[in-house]
This record gives sequence, structure tokens and C-alpha cells, in this order.
Amino acid sequence: MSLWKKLFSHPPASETSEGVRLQLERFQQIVQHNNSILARIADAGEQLSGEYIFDTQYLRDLAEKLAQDVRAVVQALNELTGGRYQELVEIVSDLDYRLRAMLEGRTVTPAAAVILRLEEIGTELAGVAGEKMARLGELSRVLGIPVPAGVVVSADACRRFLDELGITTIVTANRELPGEQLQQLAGELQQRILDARVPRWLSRNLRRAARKLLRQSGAHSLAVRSSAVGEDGEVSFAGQYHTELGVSPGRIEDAYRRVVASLFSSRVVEYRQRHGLDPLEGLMAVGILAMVPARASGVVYTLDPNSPASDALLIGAGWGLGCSVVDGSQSADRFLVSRRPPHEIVGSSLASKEFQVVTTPLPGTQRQAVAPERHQVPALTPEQLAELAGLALRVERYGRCAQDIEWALDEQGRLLLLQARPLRVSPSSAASTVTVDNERYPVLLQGRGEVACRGVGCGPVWIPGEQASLNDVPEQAVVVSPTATPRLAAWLPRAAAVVTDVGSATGHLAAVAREFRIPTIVDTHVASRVLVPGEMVTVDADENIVYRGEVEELIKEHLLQESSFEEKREFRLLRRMLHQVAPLNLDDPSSRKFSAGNCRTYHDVIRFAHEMAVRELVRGRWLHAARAGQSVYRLAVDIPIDLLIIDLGGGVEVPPGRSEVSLEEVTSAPLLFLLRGLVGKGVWATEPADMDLGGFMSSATRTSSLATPLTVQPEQNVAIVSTHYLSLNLKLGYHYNLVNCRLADDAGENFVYFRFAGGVTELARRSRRAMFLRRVLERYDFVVESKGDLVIARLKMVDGERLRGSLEMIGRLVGFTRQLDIYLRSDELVEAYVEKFLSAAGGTHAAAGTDG
Amino acid sequence: MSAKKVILLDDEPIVGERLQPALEKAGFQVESYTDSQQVVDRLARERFDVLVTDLKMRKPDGLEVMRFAKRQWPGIKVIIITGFATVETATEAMREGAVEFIAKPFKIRALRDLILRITADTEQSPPS
Repeated sequence: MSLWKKLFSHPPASETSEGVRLQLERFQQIVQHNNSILARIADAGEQLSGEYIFDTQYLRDLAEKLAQDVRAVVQALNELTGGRYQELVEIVSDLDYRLRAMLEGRTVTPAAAVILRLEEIGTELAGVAGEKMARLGELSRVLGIPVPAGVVVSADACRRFLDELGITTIVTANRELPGEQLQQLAGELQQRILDARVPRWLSRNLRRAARKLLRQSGAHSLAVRSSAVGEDGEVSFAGQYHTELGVSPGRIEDAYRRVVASLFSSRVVEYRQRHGLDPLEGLMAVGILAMVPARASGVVYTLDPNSPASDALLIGAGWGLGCSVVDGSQSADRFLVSRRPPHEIVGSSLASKEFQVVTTPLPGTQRQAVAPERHQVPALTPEQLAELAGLALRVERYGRCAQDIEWALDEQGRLLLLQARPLRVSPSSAASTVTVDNERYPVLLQGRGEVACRGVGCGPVWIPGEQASLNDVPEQAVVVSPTATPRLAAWLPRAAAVVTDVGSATGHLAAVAREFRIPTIVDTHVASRVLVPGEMVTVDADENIVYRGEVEELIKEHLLQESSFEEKREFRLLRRMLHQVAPLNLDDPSSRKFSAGNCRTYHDVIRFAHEMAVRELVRGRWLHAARAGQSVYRLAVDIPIDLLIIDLGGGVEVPPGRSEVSLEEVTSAPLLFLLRGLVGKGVWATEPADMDLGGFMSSATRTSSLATPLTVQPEQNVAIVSTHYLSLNLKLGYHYNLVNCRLADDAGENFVYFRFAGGVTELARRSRRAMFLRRVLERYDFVVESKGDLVIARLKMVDGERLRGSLEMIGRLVGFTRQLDIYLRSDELVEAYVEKFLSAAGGTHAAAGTDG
Repeated sequence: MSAKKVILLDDEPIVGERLQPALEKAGFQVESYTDSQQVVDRLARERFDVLVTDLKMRKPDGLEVMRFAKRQWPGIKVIIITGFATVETATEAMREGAVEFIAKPFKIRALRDLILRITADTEQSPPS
């Protein structure tokens, strides 16, 4: 018996009418809180553009309101499901605790493995690997800059170590201690770590990692480097933590202990206190790197701190290991090298380099005399200086501020990056006084569009074509795009700046631009027509101006800014908070990972809660009690989709007592537009598909268990609706469609989520159809992920008019693709069908316009 | 013509740190404080064209600083920048003569343009 029959053939018991109302109310609450949470997250993300002034109070309010709303979602879900998801209560409490801890300046770190490989990390893992190692991993991964082989002992391992030593408890109990006693306690904690035995789970990991590293790299010994968590970008920490060179695997635990203990050095404790961080609550990730047997090494400042306005980098270089150059204990050669290619030497002073520190085959380091004939020989050749300058400037461009870099030249003459961090140079005057000479640098665009991320970037204009791929993007180009397609997001790390014709500061692209700190201006309407490919331009996203040429003064000024906004404590804090809030890990409801226990962020929690609430409503026994004409209706249309509509309020307008609803009586905006697309002329092809033998055999031998299951598998197609809301589960033949949507006039809370899977033919054809869907949806600026025949597409923060068009398109798409896999016999046909669909879409759009 | 003078007060340093350079870039002479007593001391001695102040602070709070500023320099324009929680107090400030209140978070540009507008009003010969 179909659900429909069950629903309407058995009149409900009288007590259930109130029950139905309550359940619908709870569902409604989940939906409403969901929307406001998503809007709040988007708004918080936009703060990172640098366009806004916000303060710690804002961050506190944000944490409080998010926790409040997410708790309300969880409570409503538990009421709806009879308390099935108590686990979520604890998860939300934990996330809330973490956010509050961050706000109080305490360091929190996500759970992680003990050992992470350097090549796997990037700045997104700064909370686990520490800022220093995360940056090293990122520069190696993204820019391909050579770095020593290495691993990182995670901050989570440090936390466990400190927990086991009882230090966490002591720290928690003594948070309010006055200055002098605090220093004394810190000293005691330091000693406790130094005296401790490293627990077995940790020592085993340390030794294994150390031995493996030596074996793979061929190095004689290891460098053990600090990489503290939570002080990202705080350059003043430089040199305050412990680093140990020439360490053998047998001594790795001692070195690890000493580096961790430096968390509690008096200088660090004092520094943390001064910067509003909890003085004792630091956490230390530790880098273990293969020792580079350096022929020469030293530092680069990409701006000369003594004369930042000059056009030179400052390079310090000495023989052997760099420690003596870095700590200044040995005199070193100093070179001033032009920032412009070919990076000529513009000044130098050679030191008499009589000693050097070298690695020894017996693991360790040794100070030894330098042969007299080499005392006065420059430690780097002009060619090596030029290469080093080029490398340093790439790091500077990527880091978007002047850099302080440690480097080494190995026995084979290869330059390696050991460390890079922002260089803080005091500007000559506080106020920015740069006036750009408009005769020399004509203004190409001004005040057009919206700034999505502030900053200054310069490079040749590059306009991606339809078929452009990641490999086509020139490094450090100014990417100019007529659309804000999510495809651009993948290219951003290589871009110097981004300017688009359309898009919004709250869109996906803007969010990614802020993540990578790429100066970005969106929605200029004209950029791709005004800016000429290949032409050198400077994008000033602080002032929303694009100049022709390389405005060196502006670029320099930007590098010199005492501290860019991203380095401010509040920005770093918001960024870290958002990492606990915004990422969506549970994207596919049919995946095994889609469970309460796997919710890692607030976004995960509300996504999960929404999905479970939908399931409850569609499957729930309560539904059987619903009375015809009260909240549940059947859609009467000409096409055979047999759709049940559950109205939460304002979704349909039907005379009392009627249980059927016509298209004209649907008042839920998202359902209405989707249906209009679906029943549109020519969309619902009725002729049987001309199936060839391959497709037929596959179809004939196919069992239903092969179809990717939809999360909710109702016996019936179901739409849960209200005026602005739609949750649709639609099975058409072998195709499963899931649509979640909120559609109102205001863009802020609008979104649509579309999931498509299944099909009748073999996987190759179904995958082609997935490719077809992807191409179409991306043209409509959806963020699309696909795997096999599964397609997940998302679009958010678009205005009502655009979203209505997108829903109508989805309706058409659902109809159009019903049997499409059968026709897609070759890859070439995909493009043809994309064009066919899109050209038909033009007409539909026009029709929708005249309707309105 | 000499630059217009703006005095900023917010107990959270980031507000002044970010606003000061932006307003200086727009041609204003700017002083920024996190301690309201210091602002009272400055206003006792010197005339400013614009006071931009937060409300919720240790005594004297923003409202008191505003009252003092108005008594001392009746022509001074006062802009309140405030968190959502104190909007009611901000309305009170408006009644007492603040030109405008802006809820945090706000766009730097919005405040800069507002100050440009209200200081243009006080010019002897306003731009057409």
C-alpha cells in the first residue's frame, strides 16, 4: 500500500492533530534557526574582507548567538525525534567551549594524529602544525619551493603530553595568578617537562619518525624546531622558543622536551600576557626536519629594515649552518640586492668569516675554523644571490607582506627555504601619503563593484577562457573574469589579485579570496571588457581602484604597512573561530560518515539536524495520522510525479477539506518555480528513449540495489514546504533528486542545495550525465562536486530573482535528465547536450520574466 | 585650509588602529584614544571638529564624554559607534545632539564618507 493510501484511507486518531501541529512547528524552528545561523556565518566571513570595523565584543556576541541558535536546533531535533540525538548536545557544548576558550586567549587545538608529514600540511592546519611549519609546508606545496624533508609532531600530541604531566590541571587552577608568582610557576612547569619521561605512545612515534626521516633523506642528523600554535603571525615570538640542531634519533626525546618546555620560558609568558593571551596556555607543535649539510646559509629580508623605501633586499650569508648568522654570533656577509630582475647587487660588505658551524657524521654540530683563503670569499655568488632574491620575492608576493626568510645552500648548490615569517618594518610615517601619479598610471577602474578582500596586487591581466584549467593560470597574474564562477576559486592561490564582472562579497569566491588573502574586487560589471589581457595592472582593493602599470609606490606602501589588518588579533581570532564554525564536512547525506558523531563544526550540526528532521517528517509514524486537507496534500499536475506536499504554513492555498492541490494553488515560492521548470513545455519528454544494446543490457541486468540510495527513501515523492522553504525528495524512475531551498527576495539567507544520483545505464554513461549536470550547474554559478554518478551542487546568497531562475532551471534539469544517461553514448555528446539545454534555457528565462 | 580634526575614542584598540590610518588617508588630522579620561583632557584643551566615540566604557562613558565635548565646543559633531546591544543608549545620544550613530560592525568607508559629509557642512563656502 502506498503511503498516500495509508495516509488518507485511515482517518487519524483525534489526539494526533495536536501532535502534527507540534511536529511541524519543531521542524519549522529547525529551518528558521538554520537560516539565521547560515546568514550569521556568512556575515562573519565577510568581516574578514577588511572592509569593516569590528571588535572583540562582536566576536563575543557572535559566539554567544551561534551557540544559542545551534542549541535551539538540537533541542528541536531531539523533541521531534524523541531524544534520538542527545550526542549532539555534547558536541555543541564542546564547540561552544572551544570558541569561548579562544576568546579568552586560551589555545585550543583540534584532535590530530601524533605525526603529520610536512608535505601534507598548509596554513589551514596552523592550529595543528603550528604557524611556522604550516607555512613551510604551504610554500613547498603551493609554490614548489624546496624545503628540507620533515614531519611535524602535532599540537594535539603536545596537549596530551602536558595533560599526562598534570600541567593542564595546574594551569587551569592558576589562571589568575599575579605576575611574579606566575613567572615562578612557569619556571616550575618548565622544569617538570625537562625532568619528565616522554610517554611511550609519544616516544615510539618520535623515534620511528626520526629514523624514517634520516633513512629517506640521507641526512646525518635532524633539526628540531618550535612551531607554536595560536600566535599565528605574531612575529615578535621569533627566536623566543627553543630550536635544536644536529639531533640524533636517540636524542630526539630530549630535544622534543626542550622545545616544548620553552613554552614556559619567562620571555614567552610575559609576551603572551602583554598580548591578551592566557600566559600559560600555549601549545607547541614541533617540526623535525632533516639537517641540511649547508655549504652556506643565512637570512633574507625582502625589504631593508634600515631603509625600507629603497629598492633592495638585504641578504646575510655565512659559511656552514645558519645559526651563527641568525643569532648574530658570527659576522656575516651583507648584500643589498635589487628587488627588480635581474636582481643585481647594489651594495655589499664582506666579513672575515673565520669560523663556521657544520654538521658532523656523528650526529651533532661542530664549530670549526674556515680555511684562511675562504675568509674573504663571498658566501654566495652573484647568480646565487639573484636566485635567492627571486625565491624570496615569490614568498613575499604569496605572503602579501615583507618577509624574513632563513635559507641554506646545500652541498649540491641547491637553495632551500628553512623558515619564512612576516617581517615587520616600521614605516617612515604613520599615515599613508602615497599619491598615485595618474598621468603615469592611468586609472582603469574606480569605485566599481564591491571589495571582497582588501589589499594591493600587481601583475599581468589574465582572462580565463571557458576551457581554461589550473595549469593555464600564470603565476601572480591578475585574474579578470566575466563571471564569479566557483571554478575560479581553485586558481586563487596563484593569483596576485582578482577582479570580476559579477559576484558578491558574500559569495563563495569572495570567501576563498579572503581565505588566501587575495586582493579581490567583484561585481564591477565591466572589468573583463576594460582590462586588456597581458597588460600590467595594479589592483588597489583598499581604495577600489585599478591602475594601468606597476605602481611600485603603492605596492611598497602596502608591504610597509605597520601591520596589515589580517595580522590583527581580532582578525586572527575570527579566522580561527570560523574554522570551528563554518566548514561543512558532512556534505553527502548518503555517505557513511553522515552521522551525529562526525559533526565537527556548527555547520555540520545544523546540516545533520536538518537532514534528520526531514527524514523524521517524511518517514515518521506521526504522518500516518495526518488528516487530509489539514497539512498534507497531493499535487495534481499533468505529469506523472505523484508528489505529496507537507505544508508547514503558507506553502499552499487550498479551500478547507480539499486534499488535492493544483500548480496554481502552490504558494511556496521555491516549489512553485521548480515545478514551473519541471512541467514546462517540452521538458517532460514522453517518448521512450531509443536505447542501444549496451545501455539496454546494463539496464536489464541492473538491480535496484546498485542505485545510489537517496538519504530519504520514501515510498512516495515528498515536498515539505512553507512560503519560502522547500525540502524535496523526488524519485523519478531510477533517478534520485534532493532539493533543499530557501527562497525570499533578500539574498542574505537564500540558498539552494541540489543532489542528484542514480540512473539506468552503466556507470560511464551515468558519469557523463554527472558531467553534463556539472557543466550546466556551474554555468549558473553553483559550487558543484561530483563523484561517479553523484552530483552535489550548492548556491547561496543570491537574490530572489536569480534564485527563482535557478530553481526553474533545476526543475527543467530534473525533467531533462530523466533519461539523458541513455543518450550519452560518448563524451563528445555531453557538450552538445549542455548547449542544447542552455540555449533552451534562454527562452524559459524570458518567459519567467514576463510572468513576473 | 588646515585639515579638519577628528578625535576617536573606543576602548578596544583595534577600532582606532584601523580607523586612524583610513581617516588620515582621507585628509583628516586624527587622534585616537582607548581611555576616555584622556579624551576629556584633550577636549578640555583643544577644539576638534568631530568626536567619534563608543558608548560602553569605563567612566566617563561615551555619553558623558559627548556631553562634555558639547559643553566645551558646541559646534563639535559627534558620531556614536556602538555595538548592537547598546542601540537604545545610542538613540538617547542622538536626542542629546549626536549627528549619527553607526552600529558595529560597520564599513570603514561608511564612517569616512559620513565624516566627510558632516565636515563639508561646516565649511564657510560649502561645495555645491
